[in-house]
Amino acid sequence: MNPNDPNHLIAESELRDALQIHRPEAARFAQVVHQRVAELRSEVATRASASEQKRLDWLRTAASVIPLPLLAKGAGGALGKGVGTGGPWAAKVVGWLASGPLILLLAAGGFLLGFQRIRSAQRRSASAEPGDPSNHQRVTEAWWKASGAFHIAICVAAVLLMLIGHTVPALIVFLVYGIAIVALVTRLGQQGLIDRTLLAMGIAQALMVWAGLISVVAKASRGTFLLDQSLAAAIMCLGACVVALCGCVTAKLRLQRIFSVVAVIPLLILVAIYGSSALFPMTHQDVRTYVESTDIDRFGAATWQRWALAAGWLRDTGQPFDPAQPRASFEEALAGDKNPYVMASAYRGGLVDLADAKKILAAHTERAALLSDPSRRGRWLSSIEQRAAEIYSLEQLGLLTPEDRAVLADRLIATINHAATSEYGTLKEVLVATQLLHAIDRADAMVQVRNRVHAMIVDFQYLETQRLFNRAGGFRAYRKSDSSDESATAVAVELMQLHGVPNEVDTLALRSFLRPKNTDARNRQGAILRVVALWRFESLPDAPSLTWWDYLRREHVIGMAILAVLLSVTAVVGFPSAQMTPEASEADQQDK
Amino acid sequence: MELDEAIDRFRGPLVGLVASWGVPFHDAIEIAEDSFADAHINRDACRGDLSDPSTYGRWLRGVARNHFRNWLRSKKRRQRRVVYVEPSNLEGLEAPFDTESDVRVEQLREAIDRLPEKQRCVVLMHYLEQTSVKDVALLLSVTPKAVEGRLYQARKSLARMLSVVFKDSDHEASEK
Repeated sequence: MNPNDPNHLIAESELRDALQIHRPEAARFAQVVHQRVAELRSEVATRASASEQKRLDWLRTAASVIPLPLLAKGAGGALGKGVGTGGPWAAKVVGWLASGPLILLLAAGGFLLGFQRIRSAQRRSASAEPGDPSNHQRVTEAWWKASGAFHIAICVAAVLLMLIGHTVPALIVFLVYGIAIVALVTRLGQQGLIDRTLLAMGIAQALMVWAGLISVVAKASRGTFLLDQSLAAAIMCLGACVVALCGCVTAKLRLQRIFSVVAVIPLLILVAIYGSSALFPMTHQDVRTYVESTDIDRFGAATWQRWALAAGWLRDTGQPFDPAQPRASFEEALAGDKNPYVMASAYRGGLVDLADAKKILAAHTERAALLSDPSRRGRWLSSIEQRAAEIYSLEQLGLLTPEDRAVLADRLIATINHAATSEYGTLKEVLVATQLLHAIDRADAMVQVRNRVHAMIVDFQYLETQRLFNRAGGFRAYRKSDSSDESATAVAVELMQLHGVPNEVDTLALRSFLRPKNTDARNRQGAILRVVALWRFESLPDAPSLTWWDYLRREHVIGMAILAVLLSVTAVVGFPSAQMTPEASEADQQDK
Repeated sequence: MELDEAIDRFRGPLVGLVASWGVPFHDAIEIAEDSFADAHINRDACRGDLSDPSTYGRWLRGVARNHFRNWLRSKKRRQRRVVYVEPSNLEGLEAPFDTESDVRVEQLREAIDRLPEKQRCVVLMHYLEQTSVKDVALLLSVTPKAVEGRLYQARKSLARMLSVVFKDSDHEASEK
């Protein structure tokens, strides 16, 4: 056939031959599809129960905010029977009504309204005839009689709810507090009985009480927050400082003025304590100091492993540190029992030189030779964390042939597969195996296990929010553990750096777990692990970045604290102090 | 339609279809596997009658399209992670062409890549596993005649492209 013929066609056999190389293997294809179907089925089941739990969570939130009779008509059925079985629309509406941003928005509206009422009371007070001071107590008592019990009952109920449930009921306390301030100020303003000093003292005390309470509640917090909830207490203490200074510095009596200034000092200390997570955040220098020092008892293998996570971060980001002290500890361990965990940690921290590698290997020469024995190809390494140092040493001394590497890579992949499927497999084992794959230049083999590792990471994330004093969002050390662990979380984040972030990981909850706390000074190691994990996670290209909306959704308690403080300051500042009024001046003159 | 029957019927054309969207073949196979699994798990969400092959084909194509979009997104994310590979390593991986027929096969593959999208699509779908024109048409929601027409045009274009390539190489050889 003439190839120049315009009707000439390329032969079909040629086309088939050209594409043959890309042809999928039929049996394997079908097997993978069936396997994927099985995985999807279990994923769907897990997701369904998680989403049901989530829905119940927001319904519980709603139940603590919305009056129960309303729930009984709408989503009450859903609350009782479980969402999805009845009235999902009503449940959704109630959930939205109780959601953080909406409450914050309503509270902001309430704040503006309250602000307006206080301003008008202030104007009325300025133009009104000064009332009889003896009336002051009578009016206050009348107000307490009328609505005090109601306010106290709501606050007590909210506090109880806070201690057994979410921090959202704290919002009710803030609302009640705001309403009480506005009502009292308006009533006293109408009677011309407002005195800035008196008002400031009362409000400052109330703010201090609530700050203390919120700080306790923050410790029991079970929600997903992005900032330390003790910041709300810090803001309230700061508000108490400002209110005390505004109201009391211009007080009539010198003793009152001195007292107010002195009272501000412990309040500022409280601000520093509660707000330490924002005022004194953990820095890179802190991490470096931790890695360089051996002051924190670095005697056990577990402590060395935590040290390796921090040192690994410094090495990965190219931050130099002085290894003198950890090196001395390592040499001690090398001369002693050569604890394999310590040796592997030292490798991660870059403390091992060629001479050390020889010493490590000398202790296990025969055992190390079996690592890459071809007859053991495909068999998983039963104690990978204990054998890691041997593999690193073999690699460092250049004793691995290409065949050895291939056998080792197979065994490491088998180890990852075993850890990912075994009931007792840990993230740490997977991380060590993955790092060893990198060390022996076989990172390409990771592709084979990526999906399994992703599934394992998702499985290990602990998202249970129904337990007090238990921060959800971190990762479990073991599959069956019922709490998050700081070391395991740092390990999981390192794994995500190597294998990518699975779509199913709740990154907001993870950030919430890693957020700094005001108690970090008492748990230095834990704080270092969390901050290193947070920095590592934020450096990942596939980690979603936070938006203002995320903060608005999660930080309603802090938002409400700010509004309450603003309202308090507004209430105090607008009224004249007793010292400034003509009556006070006259009284002063008469005293003199 | 049962899962195994669907796999047998649409495996080749689906991999070819995904590959024609610019996905490397190893990823295209993975996307096709995920698409079959997803289409099977979520079959209740399909409004049509999935026992009808044309409905199944349309449904499968839609699921694959979604997976392809996800793949594109993750590809963009992966691209942000820059991996440097020594050029010498890549050269080492490249296998030399042994025979003239190898050269022609390689040029044919390159020519397929240069085909217009619709033609490339049917070529990959039909010839990857010698799937029937009817099944290709079902997956694309077009008539078998349309597929045949595109295949004819594609084969003609490929013959023309290859003859030009060979003419050029002969010319270069005679100059030498």
